[in-house]
Amino acid sequence: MITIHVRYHNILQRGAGTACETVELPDGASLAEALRHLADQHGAPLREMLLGSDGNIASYLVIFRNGQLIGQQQHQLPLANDDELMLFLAISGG
Amino acid sequence: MFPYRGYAGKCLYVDLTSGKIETREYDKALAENYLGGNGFGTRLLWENVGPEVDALAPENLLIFSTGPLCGTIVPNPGRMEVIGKSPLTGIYGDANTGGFLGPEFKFAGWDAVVITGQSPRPVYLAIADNQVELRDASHLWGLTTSQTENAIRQAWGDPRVKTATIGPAGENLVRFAGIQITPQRSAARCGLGAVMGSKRLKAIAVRGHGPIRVADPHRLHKVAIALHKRLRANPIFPAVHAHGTPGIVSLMDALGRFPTQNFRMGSFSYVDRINADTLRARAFVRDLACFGCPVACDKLYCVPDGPYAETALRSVEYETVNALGACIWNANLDALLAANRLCDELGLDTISAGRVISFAMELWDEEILNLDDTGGLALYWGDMDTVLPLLRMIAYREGFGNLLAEGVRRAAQTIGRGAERYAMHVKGMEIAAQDGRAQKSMGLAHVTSTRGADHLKAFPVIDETGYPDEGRRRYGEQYLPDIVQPLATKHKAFLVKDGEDFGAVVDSVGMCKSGGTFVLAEIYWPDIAAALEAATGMEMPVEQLQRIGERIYNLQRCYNALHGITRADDKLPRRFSEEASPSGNAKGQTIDIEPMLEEYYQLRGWDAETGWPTAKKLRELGLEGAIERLQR
Repeated sequence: MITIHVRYHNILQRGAGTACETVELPDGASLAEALRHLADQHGAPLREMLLGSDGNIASYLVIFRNGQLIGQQQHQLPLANDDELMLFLAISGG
Repeated sequence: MFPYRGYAGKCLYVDLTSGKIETREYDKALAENYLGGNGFGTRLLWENVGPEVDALAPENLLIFSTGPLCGTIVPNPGRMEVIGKSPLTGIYGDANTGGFLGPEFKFAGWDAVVITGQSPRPVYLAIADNQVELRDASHLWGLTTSQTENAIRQAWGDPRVKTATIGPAGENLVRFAGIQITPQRSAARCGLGAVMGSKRLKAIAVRGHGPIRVADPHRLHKVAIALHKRLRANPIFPAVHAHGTPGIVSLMDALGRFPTQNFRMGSFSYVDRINADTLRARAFVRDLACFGCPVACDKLYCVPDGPYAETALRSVEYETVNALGACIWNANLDALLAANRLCDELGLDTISAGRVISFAMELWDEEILNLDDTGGLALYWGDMDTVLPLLRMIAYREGFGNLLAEGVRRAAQTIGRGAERYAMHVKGMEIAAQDGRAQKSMGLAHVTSTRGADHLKAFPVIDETGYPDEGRRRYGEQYLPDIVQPLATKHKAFLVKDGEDFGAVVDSVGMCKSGGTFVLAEIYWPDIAAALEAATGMEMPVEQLQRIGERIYNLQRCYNALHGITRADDKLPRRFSEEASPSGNAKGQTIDIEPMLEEYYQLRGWDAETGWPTAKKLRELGLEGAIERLQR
């Protein structure tokens, strides 16, 4: 098992009911699997913010892994123990 | 009879020297070629305020200008423009504001107010529908912005009067004084509050009761409803509504785009203490909105307890959270809100105010300034016990504050000793909260903006996060993935040029850049063209509208060229190209503007050597008069 740390921002915090949490995942779990796990754990409305209607990661979700912006082609990347994910909606401006 | 609907059809011309007030019909050709708002002001400035006129001289114009969609039913139609030569930059200047003043002008029957001259004594301009007069404001001179607004409302006996006021900063000709607009919005940038102060115009107060007539109400209703629906269906809409512009603080910090310690860094170690979630938890009272806005990004905040208890304010923006937070290394949210409120009361642009202070703090840190220079002030990072009094000293031009009241460019020139390296400006305008090393399009936007360093002319927001949907919606697949990648330079010249032309139109019709046109990227050229046709009765093919945007932007560049601006001025401070960002997603990044700039000039049809519009381009835009004037 690996442990990852998740930080939610903006209205994702409301969806998750928390600003941050630590979750356990099977070894080799991908980013996409981690987000599905979070969606299952919290249910709606977080699910609707993390996943699109097709069950894939929402195209408007912005993800940082250990401070690095993750592109949408990288959702199958395996996560490592102690990784930190920061999750945002793709809000712009300013 | 003015032929187009959507407009009130007339303007006020006020000469403060003679006290003469004149009504003129709105110029039909101006409406057709420049729409209104920003375009109207640009043309008037070009025709009437030459390079020989000092920004603080009576001959400078101060133009309050609405657009044909302002006050209508399209989403976010509450914006208006203030235009004049900037005392901060000495070139073209404008500031845009939301709130309710623009629609109130239209309800009173006026599209614009053009002010010239200098009153022998303080006055304010009172507009009650068709009754317009200059009133004595001697008793208001010296008051803060909210005191002035309240005094005028009491005198009128009408709480619905909308005002544009200056505070002590404008009266004292602080070069980055803003104009405060009902309700607690600001036309902040470019120092146009100092222009108002130089004219001894303390305020404009407006109350209107008339309708805005549109050409095809049914069509406009259909267009507007469709736009409202699209905005509300956007998956990001709830996040923009929930937190407004501060909602991007943590995201920009993670991107390394959040200027910290005067742009030494792009991320703030204590960002969680000042981000949107903390702000909401600490001080949120209720949601607010500008006129006709479905987004309602504005909020009322109040500090509940502690030394700054009962500090109440609205319009807390991302820019201010940065300028009075990370950029001066302040993690005390309550003190940040108090400083924001103080700037509003004094009539200071929070961006420039924060930047002159972060500039001074870095000079202190680098031991370029000492106690003798500052009159005994120690300028330690994040020391809000110094920052709050210093803001007052700037507004009243007292002691060291008098130097900072000149803005970073002039202050650095006066200080010397290498201070200029730390002056974060382009063409004299302090850089707002976008680090071009972390988002390359913003670096380009800062140098090509016609009002000096500015993100809002091009407002290239679709490449902030790498999120592709907005780029796809706006430009199709053609430019993906580069156009949405913040660190990529490919296609960014195109993105900036398109944003500048589109932004000139948005600012000319009276709509908002944060409510769908740029942020959310739902409203674009065809939508505004359709709304304009329905509101005004003009024929407005998209190509014609694009040409208008390009014409406005080119004329602003011509105006700056008349004032000696060339390609040599289109540059960022050395920090951005010489010091790699240590922060976030931008770690290790610098920015090389030149290749993007080269491509930009090419797309614009500007001379790559001078950076001026070519005769061919000006002819194409119907600006033949500018060719001759530039040649002279």
